[in-house]
Amino acid sequence: MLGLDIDLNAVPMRPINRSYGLAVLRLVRILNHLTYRTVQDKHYFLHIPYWYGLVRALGEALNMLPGIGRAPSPSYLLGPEVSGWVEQRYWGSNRELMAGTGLPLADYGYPLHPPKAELPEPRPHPALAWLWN
Amino acid sequence: MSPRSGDGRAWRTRRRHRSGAGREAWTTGPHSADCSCGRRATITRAGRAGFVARAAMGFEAARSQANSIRPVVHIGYHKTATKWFQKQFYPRVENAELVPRETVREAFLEPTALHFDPDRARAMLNGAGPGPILCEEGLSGYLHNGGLAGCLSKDVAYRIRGVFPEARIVIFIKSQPAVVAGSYEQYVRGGGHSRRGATCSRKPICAALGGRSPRRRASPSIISSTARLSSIIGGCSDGKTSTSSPTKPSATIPPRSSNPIAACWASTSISTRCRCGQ
Repeated sequence: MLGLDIDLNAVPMRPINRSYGLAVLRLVRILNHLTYRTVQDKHYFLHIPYWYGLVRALGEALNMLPGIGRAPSPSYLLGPEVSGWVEQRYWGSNRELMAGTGLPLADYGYPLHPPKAELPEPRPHPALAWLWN
Repeated sequence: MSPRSGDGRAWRTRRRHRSGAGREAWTTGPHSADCSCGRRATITRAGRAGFVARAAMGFEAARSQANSIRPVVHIGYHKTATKWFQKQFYPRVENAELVPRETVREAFLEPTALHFDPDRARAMLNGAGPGPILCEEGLSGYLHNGGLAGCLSKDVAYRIRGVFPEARIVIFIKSQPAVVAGSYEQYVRGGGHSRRGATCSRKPICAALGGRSPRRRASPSIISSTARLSSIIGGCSDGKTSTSSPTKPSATIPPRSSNPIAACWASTSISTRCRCGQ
């Protein structure tokens, strides 16, 4: 197939881009209000030069600490509304994928069943929607 | 003279790879599922073991027999441990050379659609040695704009086919909730602060999965997106391009044995080596 020759035993299996833990994620979200970045939905109170690099280093350092760096599960991080909506959108194509390839997708967290009731597209609360305009 | 001759980083990378410590100590022989050496347990205990198993299954869909090393183009998707492959896996491949990401971006992503020249890109990448390996998730689109409704992914696919019509394309997939959660986490890491619900519903993070805007009512399908991307890349190559598209029925799936990693790797043709000689 690919024909690559590699010694698997010499390949470190430690993660490179480890996900933030929940506590680190919340802290970084707050600190990100003080820096300008070109990501979507970005607002900032004031831009402090080099603040982003500091926050990034702080987040990575905190994420290395045992106990605090545990990444939350997708369903916990996204919440039931968004998680259910994602599952609703992809369960059908995932079944096609599983039928076409025979891969045991259920073992790897792919949504394969429709939700009990149709879920609306997640939106900000109407009273707070103006914040994202 | 290769355009990359003056690339100091590229040459430093190459020297480091060729002087891999302890390489001579490894005896030849495939590391198969029934290998009884102690090293096998190291792999199964690894934190990324589950992902590697899924990755190996992705490789299996690209099964074809070939004796020569052809270019390998690993295009993502995002949040499927591409950085691990770039830093840990591909640099240790002994019979092919990993092209630095900067070179890949310069060759494929920096030229505009009206100025892209396949010959120039090929000249830049051919300096990487035999069977160059390209691993850049940006080739499948940009995470924060959903690949511009698939236009970016589609154009890059045409570019890849124009430069390496004989390449082997590697595409990894991941469960959609995990991708969305990872994308949101990456968004915060990149400086964002919006709440998860607002970000996921308003902005095209979810579109990276299917190349469509999440606001559209049409059901997105990772199958159709991956299939179309694969068909573009390999469409005119007389079957020489094999992809890991999940749309193609794969061969036998390795059973989930006590050592699924070794079983999955054994199902691929990626030859591995083990000290025990088995």
